[in-house]
Amino acid sequence: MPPPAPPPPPIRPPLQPHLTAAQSSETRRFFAIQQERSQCRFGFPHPFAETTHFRAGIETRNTVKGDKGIILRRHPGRDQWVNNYSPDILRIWEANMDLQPITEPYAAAAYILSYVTKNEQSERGYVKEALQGLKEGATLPDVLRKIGNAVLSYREVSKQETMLLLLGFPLYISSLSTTFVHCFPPAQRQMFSRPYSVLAQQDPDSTDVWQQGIIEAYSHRPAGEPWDSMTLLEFATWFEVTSAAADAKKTGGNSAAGQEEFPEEYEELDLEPGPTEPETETAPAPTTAFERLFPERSDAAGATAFQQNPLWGSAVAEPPFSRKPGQTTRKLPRFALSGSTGKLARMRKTPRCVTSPMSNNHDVVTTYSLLAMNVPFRDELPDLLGI
Amino acid sequence: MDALTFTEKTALLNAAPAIAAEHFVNNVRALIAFLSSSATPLGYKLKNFFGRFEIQGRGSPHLHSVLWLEGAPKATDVDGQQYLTWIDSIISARLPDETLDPELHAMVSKFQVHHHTDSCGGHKGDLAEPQQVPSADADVPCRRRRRRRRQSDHLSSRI
Repeated sequence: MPPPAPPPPPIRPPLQPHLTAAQSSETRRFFAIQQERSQCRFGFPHPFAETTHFRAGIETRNTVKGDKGIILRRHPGRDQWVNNYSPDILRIWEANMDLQPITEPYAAAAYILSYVTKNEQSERGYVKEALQGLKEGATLPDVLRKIGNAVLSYREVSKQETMLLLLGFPLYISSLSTTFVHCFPPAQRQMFSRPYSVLAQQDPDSTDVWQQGIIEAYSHRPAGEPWDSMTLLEFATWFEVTSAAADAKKTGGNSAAGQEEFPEEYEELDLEPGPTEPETETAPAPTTAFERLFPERSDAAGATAFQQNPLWGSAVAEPPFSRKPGQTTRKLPRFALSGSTGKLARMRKTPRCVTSPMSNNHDVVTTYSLLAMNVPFRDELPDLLGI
Repeated sequence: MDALTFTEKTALLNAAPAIAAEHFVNNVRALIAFLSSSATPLGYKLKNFFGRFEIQGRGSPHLHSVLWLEGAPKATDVDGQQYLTWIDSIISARLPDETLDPELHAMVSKFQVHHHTDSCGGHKGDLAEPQQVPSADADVPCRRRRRRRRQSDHLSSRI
């Protein structure tokens, strides 16, 4: 056995060679890529990679828009100029695509904000500028005209876009529909006045001039569970308000009375009139809130066909009511609302997303909106604010 | 279609923008139907989707969309490898071999290969692999419209 080698002399080696060995290849590559990518806003040519992998280390420093999280397998050369695609989809789509895997919730939010919804910030400045040129004492129509002209002259709208708008095609396409609830405090809330024909028949001194909306319907929801603990958000997600007459008309019932107050064509699909079950036995005395409140006139089968869904609240897609075991009715449950005559809350077949406004500069208003959406109430001001 | 030059295509588009717009909408609907079908081209059931039609100032309609797939592996799972394997099986960035899959090779070359243009800002940069595939649009006139693109890239909405 030779004796152990003596310890190296305590001389500090020059730093530079070590630094170069440790860093320069990475650093050089980083700057090379950076240089390359800074030119093209889509980030071409993409870096090559042996395997598909999560972006890590130095790679996280040179991301371009929408190029986060994952680096796809690309061999050097021509692959670097190919945009992400799915072979199956490309064969059918026969046009350009850019598929991006979303790796985390933040990436999803970032994607939605940067692509799916875009702000109109730049336009805002233009409108502001136009408004500054307004004369003293301009009337509201003047202001509106000014804004309209500013918007129209700022944006360049292509022929095809014009056609989409003119032909009535939607600018959005979605598997979920949304419903809008304006849940500001009553004094700030946007409301529609009743139609003139209705107003004309009212007492001139009457203050009941507003169209009843989802919030009023919610306040008049039936008593008992699950209603008592149902929030406005959940109510709007799962129920639509309709008049009894309109509902009867739609489901092929008594169509003589009334007009539809909430025309919702897209609901046609949801309403599959089930077989009308003849009522043979005398209805049992109402034992549950549901039975008590279910309008016997609209469908007697419905009164006994549904029960509170035990899974309600456990998942987004779980409705508040489900069919009782053994029931086959295809109708959706309907509930009479108290207070407003002839109004029904009809459960939707599929839940809707609820959107509600937020106030940028009034904390109180925003807090109130959050309360109203998420705390069950019946009489909003006393229940929510205690006044 | 392939026989037409860029100018001829533009003239056709200008003559019938409504047909073009409707065609695109129909295409998108068909695509969504395909993605939602039981064939599950993305490997998992399409649970929800949201899409936004957008038409650039230069006139090309496109769709930005987010797709939710039910039960797909998550990147945040402990074993991210499963996620990567799945991504590899549905998303590719490869130019397929011309002899093995000539059809897909032609499609990728035609639709997926990026060519720097004025609008992407890449002309000044590296041109190591420019114009891989000679395109039918070789007669594209100079399109210096960066200012206009910036203005009209953001969306119409507001209807």
